[in-house]
Amino acid sequence: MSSDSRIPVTVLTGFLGSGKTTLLNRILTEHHGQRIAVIENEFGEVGVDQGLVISADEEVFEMNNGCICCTVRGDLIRILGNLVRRKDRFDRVIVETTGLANPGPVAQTFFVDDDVKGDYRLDGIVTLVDAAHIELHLDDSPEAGEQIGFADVIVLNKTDLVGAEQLARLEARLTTMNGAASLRRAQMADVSIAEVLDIGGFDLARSLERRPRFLEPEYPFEWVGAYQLTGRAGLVVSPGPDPSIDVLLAPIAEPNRAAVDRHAEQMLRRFSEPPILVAPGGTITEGALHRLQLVEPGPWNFTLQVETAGLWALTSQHLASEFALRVVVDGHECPPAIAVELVAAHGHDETVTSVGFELERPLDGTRLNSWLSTLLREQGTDIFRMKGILDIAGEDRRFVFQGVHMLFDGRPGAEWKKDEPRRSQLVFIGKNLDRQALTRELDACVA
Amino acid sequence: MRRVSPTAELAWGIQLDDYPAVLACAPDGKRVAVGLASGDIVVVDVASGEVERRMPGHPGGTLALSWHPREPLLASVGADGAVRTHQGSESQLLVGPSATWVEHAAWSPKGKRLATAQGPVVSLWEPDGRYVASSPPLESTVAALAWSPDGTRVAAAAYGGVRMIDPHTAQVAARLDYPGSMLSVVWSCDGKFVACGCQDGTVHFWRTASNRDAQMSGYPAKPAAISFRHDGKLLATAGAPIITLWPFDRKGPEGRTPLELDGHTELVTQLAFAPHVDVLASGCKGGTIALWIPGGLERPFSTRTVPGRVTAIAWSADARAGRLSLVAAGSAGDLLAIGFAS
Repeated sequence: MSSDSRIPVTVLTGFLGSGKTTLLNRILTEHHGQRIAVIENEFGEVGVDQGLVISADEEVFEMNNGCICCTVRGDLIRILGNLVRRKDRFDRVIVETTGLANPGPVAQTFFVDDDVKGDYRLDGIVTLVDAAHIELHLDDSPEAGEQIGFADVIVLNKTDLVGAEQLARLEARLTTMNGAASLRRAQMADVSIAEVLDIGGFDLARSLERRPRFLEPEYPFEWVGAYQLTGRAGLVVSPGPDPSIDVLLAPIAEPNRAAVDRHAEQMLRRFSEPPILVAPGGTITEGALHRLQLVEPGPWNFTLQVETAGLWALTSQHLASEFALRVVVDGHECPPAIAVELVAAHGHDETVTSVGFELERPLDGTRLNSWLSTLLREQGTDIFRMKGILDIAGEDRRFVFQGVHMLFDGRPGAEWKKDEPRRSQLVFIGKNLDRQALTRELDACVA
Repeated sequence: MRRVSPTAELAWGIQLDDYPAVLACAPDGKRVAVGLASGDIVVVDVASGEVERRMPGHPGGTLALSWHPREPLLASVGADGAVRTHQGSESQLLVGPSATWVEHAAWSPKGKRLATAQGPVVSLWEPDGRYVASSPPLESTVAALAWSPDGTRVAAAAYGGVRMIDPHTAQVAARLDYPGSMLSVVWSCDGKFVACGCQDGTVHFWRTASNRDAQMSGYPAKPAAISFRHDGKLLATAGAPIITLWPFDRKGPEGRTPLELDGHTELVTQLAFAPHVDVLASGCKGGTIALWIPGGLERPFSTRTVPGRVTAIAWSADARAGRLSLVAAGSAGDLLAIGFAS
């Protein structure tokens, strides 16, 4: 399907006892007709007569510049360099890492080293997980999280050793950590070979081929509050992080979460319309986007005006808490019938998580480019993997990208079809990811 | 400088039907030994291009070859984890086979010692094959070995710098530290400089008298191929399609402008200055072999192309016959000799 003649490489990671060796043996015995070279770690225990097994010390070479994305596996460079000379070329290479290995340097070797990059392509990272023990490992060793975070495929092995409830909990946790990887249950590592080989995990043409499971709708507003209003009411706004705030007043059916979610969908388009500028003391009428100008020292008072009595939703660009938004009726504070924050409540998380976005509004190429470069420069160390398909304003083709730490690979992809909805999808997997900040920064890139 | 008007002609070309991984020219200029990816070793007559011998060397790949400077004795090491010597049709196994590749072999300048490197350990041998000693494990797998011109040290390049190994005890006599991965190591002829091409895209060098170091950076690819001119006054470095030459005469390259040789269209991976004359040979990933006179001519005075990439080049000097040849190998199995006259 591609003209890439480079030798595909699969990286197998997972803690000791997770079933790497079992899976490796399965691949070697079942994958007939292919010559496979195995580079196993120094503690490897593969006893096979198919294929060639080379034992390697995991030599992780950091560079003098201290850049984490330049860290490579020196042993792999040497071994792969020698393997490629052989006349009986291999169809495929499998690299098995030690249980405590960080997959980062292995992956980077395929993007950083000129020789390796020229002869090999990294097909995917397969992480085996021992269902009975992984929770323990996740709690006390960072490597377990790294191995999950870097994975294209997570094989949840030994599922026969745990109960259904524990399994469900574990799957939920793994999905939160890495929602872009495919998750397979297995016993005795009995996954089908097609699920672990030729998966194109780093292939731009196949980026996000499978829709990640955690993409959340991404709105240009963060908060919706519903109020019982009749005629006029006061809106009090206190100083917040921005010199303006966009709000929209519209009727809402019921004071519950489902109604708010439906309401939010309806507000999407209205929030892209040009706002009416309102100075302090001004009036906010129903149906149109209003930009409250918070220029003089606050707090500021505005008037909400509705034609009919009923339940009204105030949709706000920022969280109500950030500007201490209050609705006042007859001199008394009117509490909302329901208030919903539409951004994830938690801030950054020390553990490995994935953050995904889906937008139906085109992005500005220049701003996006500048945001991504800043993001990678400042947070590349914490970002294990990222992938995306982007709708850039004014472009007929998708922009596809993928990255490992600061290493970024992107180019125009397939053309958008006429009748197809144009939509951007972005996924970041790593640690210390601040969903709220990423949301805001991405929002600023909307064209 | 004496004005030269060099000529270079193809002397012969043969097909080896395998990937020639390493080349070593005998010091008498009569033979070249070729280590193949299959592990076989082929000995070829440099004057005629005839194959004298083909012997099973190291199954899995011959990784290094070194001719004794005075005897017709060839040392070989490889992926079978063995060290062998060969004299005529007789071969001797010094150690192995074992699971860990032996990747480097180098005779000392006078031929009193053979140094080999297996993983992070450097071992020393007598010419008759007797084991002398082994170093403690260095920081990583040894990436290159080079004897000092006076034979008092063997420099072992590894992650973290160069370790100077004592030829009698195999202990580390001196450390030249640099926090990076060294890929190659060469000495200047007077032993005053040691230079390494590094994984991080720099060429790092030390003044051996003071251990004072400095580096050249900005190479787009790793500059593994480096070569000092016979007089030590010029260091050729690759790491790009352009060859960069640094002046090492007077006070060294600091603050001085390098010479650039622009002629290859792909990454240069092979560099070798000729013995005695100011001629540089280069080979690139595009299969082009070029001969240059740095400082004299801006363009190569001769080029040849082999299919695939250039995998190895080596100079052969037969002083008695007055013949200087460049032997070059290509990844498609080509081996050729270019006769040089000035």
